[in-house]
Amino acid sequence: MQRVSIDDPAWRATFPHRVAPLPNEWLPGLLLRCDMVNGWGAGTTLAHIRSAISTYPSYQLNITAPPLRYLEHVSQVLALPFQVVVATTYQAEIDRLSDETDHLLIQPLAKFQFSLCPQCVAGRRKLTRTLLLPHITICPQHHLMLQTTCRCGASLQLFSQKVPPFTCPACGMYWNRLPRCKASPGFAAIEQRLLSFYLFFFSKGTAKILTSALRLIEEREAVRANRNTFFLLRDAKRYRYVGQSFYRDRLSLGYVVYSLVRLNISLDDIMISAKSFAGNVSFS
Amino acid sequence: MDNTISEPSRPPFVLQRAFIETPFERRYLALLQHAWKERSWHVISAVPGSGKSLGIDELVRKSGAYKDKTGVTYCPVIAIRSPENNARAQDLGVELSRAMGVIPTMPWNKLRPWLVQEMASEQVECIFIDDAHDLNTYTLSYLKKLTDNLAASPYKRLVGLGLVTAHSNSVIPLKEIIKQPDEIWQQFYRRMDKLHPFCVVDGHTLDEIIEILPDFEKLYQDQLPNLRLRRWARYIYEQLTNPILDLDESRRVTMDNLTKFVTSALRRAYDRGETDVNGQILKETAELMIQRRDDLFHIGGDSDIFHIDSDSANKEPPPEQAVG
Repeated sequence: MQRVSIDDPAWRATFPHRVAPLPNEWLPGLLLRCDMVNGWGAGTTLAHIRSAISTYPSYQLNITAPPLRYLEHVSQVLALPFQVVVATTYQAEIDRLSDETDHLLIQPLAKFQFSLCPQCVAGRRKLTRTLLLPHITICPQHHLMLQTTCRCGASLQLFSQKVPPFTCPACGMYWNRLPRCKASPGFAAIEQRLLSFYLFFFSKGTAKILTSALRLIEEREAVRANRNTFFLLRDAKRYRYVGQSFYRDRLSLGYVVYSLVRLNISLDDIMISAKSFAGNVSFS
Repeated sequence: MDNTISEPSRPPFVLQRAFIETPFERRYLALLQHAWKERSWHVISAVPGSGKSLGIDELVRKSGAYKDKTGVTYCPVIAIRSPENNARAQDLGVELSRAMGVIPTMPWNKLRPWLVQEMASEQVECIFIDDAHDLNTYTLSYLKKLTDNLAASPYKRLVGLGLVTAHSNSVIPLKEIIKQPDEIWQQFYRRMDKLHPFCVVDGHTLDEIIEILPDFEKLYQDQLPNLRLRRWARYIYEQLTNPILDLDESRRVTMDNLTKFVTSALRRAYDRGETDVNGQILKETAELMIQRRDDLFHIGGDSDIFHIDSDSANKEPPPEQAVG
């Protein structure tokens, strides 16, 4: 909805000022911009929605995989189509990659560390969805190193109601004044490979393709006698994940992508494997 | 002439809710518009049931307010209902903020400055407070401070104020507070319109009733195709200026009374299969609304509790008027 007029019932159900997602914007960025246009402290929108939908509003919201109820409420208070809000997460892409019984994670919340590109923030105060992707440390648009700490040494925090949005809670410095460090070409090339896998899975991925990738990882690790990532439970016809980055029995896409790069598996390898693989195997 | 409709299964009578721009509404809206455009302050009073709240709604609806998805919100007119029961400044602040939409819970020391900033951001030009007779010294002085803050740097925004009250017996609510000798009330009074700080908007005369009735005819034409209400204008006017309804003996008719009378008569006519009202139906309606208004209505086991079977049917109907 472009505009909400005052005789529309949505007037009273929406925040005083509305924002709509920028292309490829990540949900926390949208919420922070909502705080900004409404003149609220960072995280006020988040806290309001959490208290509106949760019986236990003090519980930390999983910002890496927010529940659909949360996204529905965001769409309501901003008078935006639900799918537009869902597009600020990787929910639709992850759903397509997951099979019917098990759900994939981008990465466990416990492993998530917030980082940002100062150049993205300086322009349209944008936090892109790629900030959510594990192992991505360079801004794909500006080729700058993503920053995780302020100049004052404090870790960057997404939401701190004591300060305005997009500022450091410790010293109050705006995030657009963080250092802009160019990434080295070698480092950028590795990240480009990681990104190409993410893009591949998000644009063309299916549960079958993901299973083929897991199968390839298993085969390569068997060759290297280093089975610390996944193994196939053939009787159960399910993949089991074995490794440090395991979270509540759920597979992390970040770890899959990392393993594909580490084991030097290409996109072509996955596609060929997917074509030849006709088994009925799911993963968990 | 037989006006009855023969079809047995007539759908139920449907009340129409359209806004009618009556002479009262024109007078009243002109005053609200004046407060908005001139950023002037008034206490605007009318008897209960005149259509004050409807008029405010209509003005707000046509104010052009919008919330754009780019973050821009434009709301030139804010209208709220006054909080009741010895409200504090905070209660009024919460009501004002609710008029803007969903607001996260904020302590008063944060909400107060936020509201000033937000009103400036939304380009508020006028505040209307309905049922302002419920305001008290705390809420009125908060309104003064709020508008003073908007008028000061950095906003420099003059805001009109319309305190809309219901009155009776020619006593204008709030006047006693605002005319007090204390410094704050002197300041408040100084901010009010120099020519018309306290206004009373009168109800409808007979001529105005004649002007309004065709609007009802149009609204109910589908259900009562032969409806001609104008010819009963004098009778309706006389009934509705009865001292039981016209407590101040102003000889003016409120829109609430007129609407109730007309729709009640139309419903009766419709339920009897008529295509127009007649003198008998108007007589019964008048009896029910006026003479028998305070009669106890016993609701027993009958499920059709609002079926009215008046014994006034034997009395003589009013003569038809040659009006309109």
